[in-house]
Amino acid sequence: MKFLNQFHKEATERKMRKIAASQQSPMNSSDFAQYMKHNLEIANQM
Amino acid sequence: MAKANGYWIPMMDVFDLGVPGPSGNENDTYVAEKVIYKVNNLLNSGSIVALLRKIFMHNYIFPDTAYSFYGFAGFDGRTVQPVIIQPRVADAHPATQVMIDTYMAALGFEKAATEGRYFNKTYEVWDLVPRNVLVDAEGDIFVVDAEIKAVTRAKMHHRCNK
Repeated sequence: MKFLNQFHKEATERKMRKIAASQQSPMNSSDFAQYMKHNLEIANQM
Repeated sequence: MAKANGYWIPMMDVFDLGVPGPSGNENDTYVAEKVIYKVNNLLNSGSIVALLRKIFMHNYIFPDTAYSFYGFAGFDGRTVQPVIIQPRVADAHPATQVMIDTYMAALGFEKAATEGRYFNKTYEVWDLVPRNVLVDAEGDIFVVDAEIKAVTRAKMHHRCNK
């Protein structure tokens, strides 16, 4: 994998570890869909 | 060809992909256990080739939220909508514009005059606004949707300073 700079490499690797960890015990899909909708509402008010 | 290779998803079967999530300009989302399926209407990209180019660039700049190609949905003989997959980002909420600016600066992008628009010597990225960018409790930024194109620096400066 190629990176833009060292920060990009470190941040990407850290975030990919977090995503992999979160997939070990994922929230159920209905709850996650609601969570996404809630995030969109928050974003639209920012 | 999509049918022959097992990549065709009749529109009536799209709901089997997952639980419907929020829809955007270009995507209807369906939430599955580990990923989000995005059924893309090509409104922003304009063509399947342009969308695939954008995905390629997204996966280079934002590899933690990289897309994979899943198949084509549509109505037989009438419409074709690419279906792409992205990993779910848990425990994160919309990032502020300042957080997004700071993150893109750390990646080496300069900020353009328009909010949410950035460029480096190779790429122009825009639509990086709170609805498309998440931040987690540790401050890590996840770009889940972006418009991207490759451009020359000369064209970029001309465009951003107009």
